[in-house]
Amino acid sequence: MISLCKTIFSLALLGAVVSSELKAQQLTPDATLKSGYGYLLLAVESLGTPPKKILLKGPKVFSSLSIDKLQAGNNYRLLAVPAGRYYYSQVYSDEEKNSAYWEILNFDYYIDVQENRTSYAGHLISEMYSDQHTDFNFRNRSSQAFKHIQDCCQLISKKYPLIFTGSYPDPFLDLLVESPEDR
Amino acid sequence: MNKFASFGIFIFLVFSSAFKIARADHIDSTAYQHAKDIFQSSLYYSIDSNPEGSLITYLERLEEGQRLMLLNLQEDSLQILLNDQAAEINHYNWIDNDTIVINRTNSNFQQSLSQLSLNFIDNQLSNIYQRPLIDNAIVVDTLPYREDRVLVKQFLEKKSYLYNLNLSARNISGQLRNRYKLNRLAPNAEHWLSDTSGKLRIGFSSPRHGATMVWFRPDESKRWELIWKGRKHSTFRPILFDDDKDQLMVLSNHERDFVELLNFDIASQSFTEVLLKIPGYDIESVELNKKRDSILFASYTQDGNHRRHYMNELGDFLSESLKRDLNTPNIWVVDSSLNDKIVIALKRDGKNPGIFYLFDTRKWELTEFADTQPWLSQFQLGDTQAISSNSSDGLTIESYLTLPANYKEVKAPLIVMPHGGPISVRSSADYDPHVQFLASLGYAVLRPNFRGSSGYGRKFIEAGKQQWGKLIEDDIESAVREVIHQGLVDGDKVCIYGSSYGGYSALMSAIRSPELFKCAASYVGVTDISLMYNNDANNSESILKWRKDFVGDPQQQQEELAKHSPVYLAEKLQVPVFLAQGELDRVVDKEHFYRMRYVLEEHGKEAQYLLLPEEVHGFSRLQSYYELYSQLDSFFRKHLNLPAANPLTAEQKPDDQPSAEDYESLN
Repeated sequence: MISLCKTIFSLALLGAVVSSELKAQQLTPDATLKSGYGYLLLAVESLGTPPKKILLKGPKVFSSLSIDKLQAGNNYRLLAVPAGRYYYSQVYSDEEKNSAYWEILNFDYYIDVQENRTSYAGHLISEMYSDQHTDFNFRNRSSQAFKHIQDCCQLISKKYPLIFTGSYPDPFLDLLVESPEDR
Repeated sequence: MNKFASFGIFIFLVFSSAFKIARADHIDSTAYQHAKDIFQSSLYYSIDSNPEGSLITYLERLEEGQRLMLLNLQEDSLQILLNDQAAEINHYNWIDNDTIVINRTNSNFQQSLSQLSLNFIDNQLSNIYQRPLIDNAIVVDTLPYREDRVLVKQFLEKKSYLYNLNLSARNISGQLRNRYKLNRLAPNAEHWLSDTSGKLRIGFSSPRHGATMVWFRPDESKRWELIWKGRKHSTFRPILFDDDKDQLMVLSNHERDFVELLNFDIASQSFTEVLLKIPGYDIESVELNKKRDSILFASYTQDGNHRRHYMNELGDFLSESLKRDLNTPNIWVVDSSLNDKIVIALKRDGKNPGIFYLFDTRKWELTEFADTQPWLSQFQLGDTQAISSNSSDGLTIESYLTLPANYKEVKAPLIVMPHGGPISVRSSADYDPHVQFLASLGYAVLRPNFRGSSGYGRKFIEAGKQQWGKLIEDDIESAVREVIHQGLVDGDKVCIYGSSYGGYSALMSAIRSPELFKCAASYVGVTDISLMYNNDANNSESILKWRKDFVGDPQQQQEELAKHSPVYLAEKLQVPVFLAQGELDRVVDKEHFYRMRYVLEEHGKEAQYLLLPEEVHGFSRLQSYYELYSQLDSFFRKHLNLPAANPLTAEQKPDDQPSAEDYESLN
């Protein structure tokens, strides 16, 4: 009986782990969201060596996200995800499966994804100059996020407007949406 | 003092920047070349004497790196002790008559301490022995009563540890074992005071916007006790521990408006005596004597000038004598050898970044030792005067007006320069290359100490609370109107320029009073108040709490903060704007720059931009200053309708300088 339980538990765990990392999906410009979903605009500025992979923990126990193929400078990913809070959790500097990683222990580094909106809460600033000189920060650069969305995905932003969902209120995106070209 | 003799060194300068930079259009401009002269760093600094006053050391800046020089007073010889181009020497300390401990930072930003032992034969330096001591560490106390001993602090990942190192021992690493950590079982304090034997007796932490905590240990067998927990916005800074009386000398403004020097009785946890107060001014700092057992002087700022109140007879007597004999109020004794044989004095004022003098108290001889920036004598720099104005609510505001040397021939255009902060920061009339760059090009410069500035007491600081874009800018405007009213400057040619909060204030002042300013320049300036909260995820709770109290709470006052943020008011700007920013700024993120640029472009406003990729909050490279100030000069000249830049030089005759007619012909 104990052995059967162990097997069931192991299979369940394996299934959970396999399904726990949802790869970033590139979406078609006119993609329509499923109910309970919103767009998540992830932004990473890489200074020094770009990270190989960044993991985020999702609102559900096994709903992690990962982004990879990051380059020096600004990187953006637009993902359709279930609404809820996503935390930055780990940054990998190597592609090896068992390689060392940095834990992001700051619980202010999150994005609240709202249903039928494109949610943005900040750029993760990754500074990886050496093992001793590595730092991560989270900074609101919504004017850059707005510019990116305008350049890449106007149809999506018309249908699912860009909103800021960081720790403190920021009315700047409202000002941009009210500006003449967006009216 | 009736005999001045000169036995020292005369140092001439040939110093040219060899840094290679990207060539910009204006690189050959007069202003760019002038910035290279004005913003060069001091050639000589960190002058000190060995304990017996026979050797003088100083750092000399080279094109790359610096070198530690040794002047042997007995032999009248000058030698290079250390030539270091790979690492920056931050500081050094004489530990005894032939031992120096040096703190250096290497190219990977790692700090380390090393020991330099000097061997002498017949008073002549025969050899130098150098060995590494400890990484990531600083000297806390040279323990002048203990030969070969030094108190050092090593910074580890989460905590810092103190060690009492014996420098005569061969094995240093053995002295870093766990049981030798002096604060192993102590509270997590940042700063420490020891008794004369080097035992830690006081520990304290003073977070910038948090509560000060002070702990005391009666002796090594007893536990640490908390003897002070800071009150809101109150200063309590331990200075000196008196182990005979269990008393602590502190700088504090507890239950008083101004910071005073007080005795604090540890047993009763109460203030027992006012040792020094300067009516109307905060005491800003104190300097201990070389023996570290009494105070040499307390510093404060009066009418913008740094002043020192000596609490040591020799220092007081010598400073007064030097002032009288050199005919200047701006010369002070700043250091001495342990035996008081050699005294180091510094002459410094608004036009002079510093000349060091050595005074031999045995021979009663004064020598000019080193002019830190001798090349400045080729220029006519500006004199500075204090100005008083009344703000919109009647509060008196002190400002400093620096006038160019030619102000009698031509009424000067004015650059208003509000300081950063804005809380607990101040301007002074002391030498400032930013001010003198402008003054030597013919501008007057006005620096107001608006409400919230430090040095004027606690009530004045509190008056700056939540006054961004409000009474603070009224204070600045009152100063501008006062100097125009007094006819000291040309009221039709006024621009405003500042960094950080000063940049914010420049934009807000131009928005609020377009009739007063012809242009505004913001360098690393805040443009959106709410954004400061979303860029500080790493800030501690105490900083956020302080910021909400002093600036405003974005969750409760969002509309109010937007109403006083330039980004949301850009439409009202009627004058040209200059924005300068470093891409790596971690204090005012580049998003402030991007937002302002976006809205200025959106509204079709006239603007000029400078975004430097490698720069931080307060540019760190000299080339960046050359770039910034040459562009600023051309921006001001264009919008104030001024003739081409022509630095005021010492040899220049009045005919060579732009005349009133030159200015009028441009109007």
